[in-house]
Amino acid sequence: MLELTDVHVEYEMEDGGAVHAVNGVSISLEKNKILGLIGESGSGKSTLAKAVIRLLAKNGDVPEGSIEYKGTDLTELSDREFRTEIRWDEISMVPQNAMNGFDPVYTVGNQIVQAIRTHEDVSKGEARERARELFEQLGIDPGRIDDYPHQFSGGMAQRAMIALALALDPSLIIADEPTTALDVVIQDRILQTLRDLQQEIESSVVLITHDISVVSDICDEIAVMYGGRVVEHADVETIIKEPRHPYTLGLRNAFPDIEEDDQDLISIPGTPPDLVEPPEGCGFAPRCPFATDECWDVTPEPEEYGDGHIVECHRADEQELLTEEAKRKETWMDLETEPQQGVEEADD
Amino acid sequence: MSVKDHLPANVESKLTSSRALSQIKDGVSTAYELYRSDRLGQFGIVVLAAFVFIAVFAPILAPYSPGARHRRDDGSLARLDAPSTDHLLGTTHHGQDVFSQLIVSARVSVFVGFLAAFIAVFIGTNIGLISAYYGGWIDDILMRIVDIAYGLPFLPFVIVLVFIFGANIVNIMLVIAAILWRDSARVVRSEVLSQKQRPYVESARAIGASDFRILYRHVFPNVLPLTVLYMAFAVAYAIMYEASIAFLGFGDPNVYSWGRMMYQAYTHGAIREAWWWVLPAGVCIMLLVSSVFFIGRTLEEITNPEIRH
Amino acid sequence: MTSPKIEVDDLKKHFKSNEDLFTRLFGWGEIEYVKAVDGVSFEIEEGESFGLAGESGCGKTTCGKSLLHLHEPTSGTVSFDGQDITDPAVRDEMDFRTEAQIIQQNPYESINPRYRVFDWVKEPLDVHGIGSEEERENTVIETIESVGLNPAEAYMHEYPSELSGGERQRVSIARAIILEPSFILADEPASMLDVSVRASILDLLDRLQDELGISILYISHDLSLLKHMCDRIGIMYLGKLVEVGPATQVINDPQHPYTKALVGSTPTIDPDDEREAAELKGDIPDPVNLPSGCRFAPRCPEATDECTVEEPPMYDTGDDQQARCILYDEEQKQTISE
Repeated sequence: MLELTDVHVEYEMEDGGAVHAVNGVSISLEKNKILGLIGESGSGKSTLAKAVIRLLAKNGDVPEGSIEYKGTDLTELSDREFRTEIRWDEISMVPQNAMNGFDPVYTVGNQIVQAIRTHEDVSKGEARERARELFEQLGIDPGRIDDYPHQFSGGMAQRAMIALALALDPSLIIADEPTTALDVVIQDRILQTLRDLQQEIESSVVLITHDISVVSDICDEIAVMYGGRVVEHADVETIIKEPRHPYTLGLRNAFPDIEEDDQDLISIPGTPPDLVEPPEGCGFAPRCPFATDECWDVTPEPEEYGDGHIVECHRADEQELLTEEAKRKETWMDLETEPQQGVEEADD
Repeated sequence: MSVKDHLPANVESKLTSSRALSQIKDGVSTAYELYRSDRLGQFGIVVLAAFVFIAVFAPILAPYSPGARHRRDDGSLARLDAPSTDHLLGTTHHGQDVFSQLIVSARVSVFVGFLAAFIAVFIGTNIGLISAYYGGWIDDILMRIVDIAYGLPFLPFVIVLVFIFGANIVNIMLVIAAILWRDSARVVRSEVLSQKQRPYVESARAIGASDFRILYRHVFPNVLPLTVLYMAFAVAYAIMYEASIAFLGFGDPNVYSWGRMMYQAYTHGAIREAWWWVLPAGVCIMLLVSSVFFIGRTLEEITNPEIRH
Repeated sequence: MTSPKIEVDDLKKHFKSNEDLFTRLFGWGEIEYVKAVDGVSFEIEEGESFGLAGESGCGKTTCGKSLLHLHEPTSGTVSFDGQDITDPAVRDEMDFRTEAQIIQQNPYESINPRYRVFDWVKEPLDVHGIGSEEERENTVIETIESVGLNPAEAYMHEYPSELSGGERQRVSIARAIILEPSFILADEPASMLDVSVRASILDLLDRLQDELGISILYISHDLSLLKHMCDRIGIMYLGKLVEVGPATQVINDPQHPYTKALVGSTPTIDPDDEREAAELKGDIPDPVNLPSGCRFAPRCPEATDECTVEEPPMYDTGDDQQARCILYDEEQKQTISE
């Protein structure tokens, strides 16, 4: 349904240079699936999503690649076509901070009604009725439809934002950290609602987050982003239980899990790559304990390891060794002390 | 100490240099960067520098004593002579050299402008800091005083005070400062109100820093850019106020100033015929005030980066 | 029997919520209070790490800051090494400030932007006049390196704006430990950091606690993190502790219905794991007008009429664990079983 091919996104800077926020992403999403897009700040996950729904900042641009949605290349459409035919009708977005998503001078209901009526030829009464239904589905008292955004609590505003995103039965919903600012109880409720409604209206969802446990809870597939590329993409089971990319292994180790009793957290040393002048080779090589000379020189291409498990790593075929080694704290610690260029593995 | 042995020699000397100094250096370099790319700012600095130079070296630069009465070749008083090579800007009703008066008057404007502004901003900043930091009844009282200061009508206030304390330049300066402090007090207070909510203030309290230290070592450096900006505007206003006071005849009769030159031209009914007596003083006031405003405008971009684009 | 490092007894902190000029001048209108902390008691042992968890607005941060005497409590006492720090006659302010420190949540705002790393870390020594200028410099360099910023000279002349979030948080930690305190309040120390960096900061805190024997109070909304970092955990709801106990036990076997809901709502990494999340009714009530009886009752899936009558005390539920829930009242249990 959604197919990205070699998408690049650049932000132009004041001094004439460019930040290569997304650096050649190819990924596809089927109908009726929830894709979790995880990565740390600066990995390009939000930028990628904004490129799809064309909400990039003024200095952002997609110089290369195609974004195919149901067979049409979205990058070919004019702004006007995109606005009237795609955005909100077909693809909608739930922003991170719902309070900023609403205009403070209009009531929430009014804004939903307006959104419906801009795209569909329905009477005010019908649109209002639909808004009330949506409120009810999301567990907000329909009587509060005439409240102003500031009268809502954070969790309620976020649910109202989802109502707004669902108002036109879109086939694709992009949710950018929809629950990051919320408490777990509300987060849980919102994620469940999102999942239920997604199944009911048979749409697809791209859920952007930095929290592995959130994606593993409700997603079907996970794509891991690092330095503007998708480094690993597979179904949830595979990513969580049999990951192949060292970065995914590292993230898994760094994340405290409520299930575990005696967990040794291991951080990934180093800092994210420079996106202004991306270095040659694999972007993760400087932080990777398994990097070889090849990793420093040649950018790995995506390769498939059985049933849609796509990995960008030269050493992805050594899964067992990497998994074992990555669990040891020393593996990652050594990197902190040693100079990094071309660290050789002993067993090479 | 082993750690220290690894340090290059210059690090150690850097360590001892005070933080304030390095901050000033940083501030200066940002300011320099901005001014380099801002024509109006450059113009402002050049003009201001020229006036400061003139003010400092006025006795050397002025061709004659400003009070000297010149006589024509025929021995008559050189009353309202047009500009000539002897008198670049002509003479006054009393046969005095306008050019010399103009140069000597720069001293008063620059002196009063900067000193009055400094006193005003000094008082205003401290009142703003204390008022916002302590809050409660201290804030109530200080801010009501600011409200009263805003209610003072400028001219009657000046006339009454000058009448009571006498028209000398120090009194005039103090009167101007007494009017100007209110702006910086209000602005600094609102900025401190926001700064004191920042976690770094709490961090300072947690290590046991005194109120004085928090106010002057933590909060003040963060409102300093704003203070400098208001200082620039205060200088401009102080120069204008001084000129206005002098033009209305309440100035110090013993001191030459641009306002007083215009006042004298006016009282001798010479405004229409002797343009050389009036115009140069007016142009100087305008140039000096606008140069300070241009500098302030660039400073504003430094303190408030959002307006750069 | 050694006395605990910190003993909090019935601590309350109420904030005025609607005081205006007229109320202040003439006493018009009735002042309403937000009961941010409303009777909290717990102890932190020497060298122990204690976690306070709960949703935003439950009062955990206010409670923590009252322990550092950054808030003046409305009532109740906080004893630090047996001395009541809420009593100005007993508290030695400067002495206390060398013993108790804070690590704040937001590393992007908690360091004064006008200070270089060196001056920021050194300031506590200046304030307390410890050592000569040269000794201070050496201590600062050692401390900066001990928090993993190696070599110190590469960092100490930087302004915070030139550092990453993780590096800033290390600077904050350096400032907190330079006076060798015996207690640190860590207020969401890792919540603003990326996952890969978060682990290293938590590791550092763990290591420093081991090396220096500090007692740490962690405040976080993240139960997974608290379980990982703490010996014991207290769960707060609307200004009161509802459950206290050993960390692993509280998370693995929660007793209070609210703790059960919190744990059940926390997502897990294992995709097969289907946690049954307890369904909580409604949103958190307004902390100005608290419900009568148990304050959790209106949202509690297990609430009975009994719950709205009286505020339940803490009941022992075994193995050092306590819950503020009538379900654990022995008499009550009997009447139910009868």
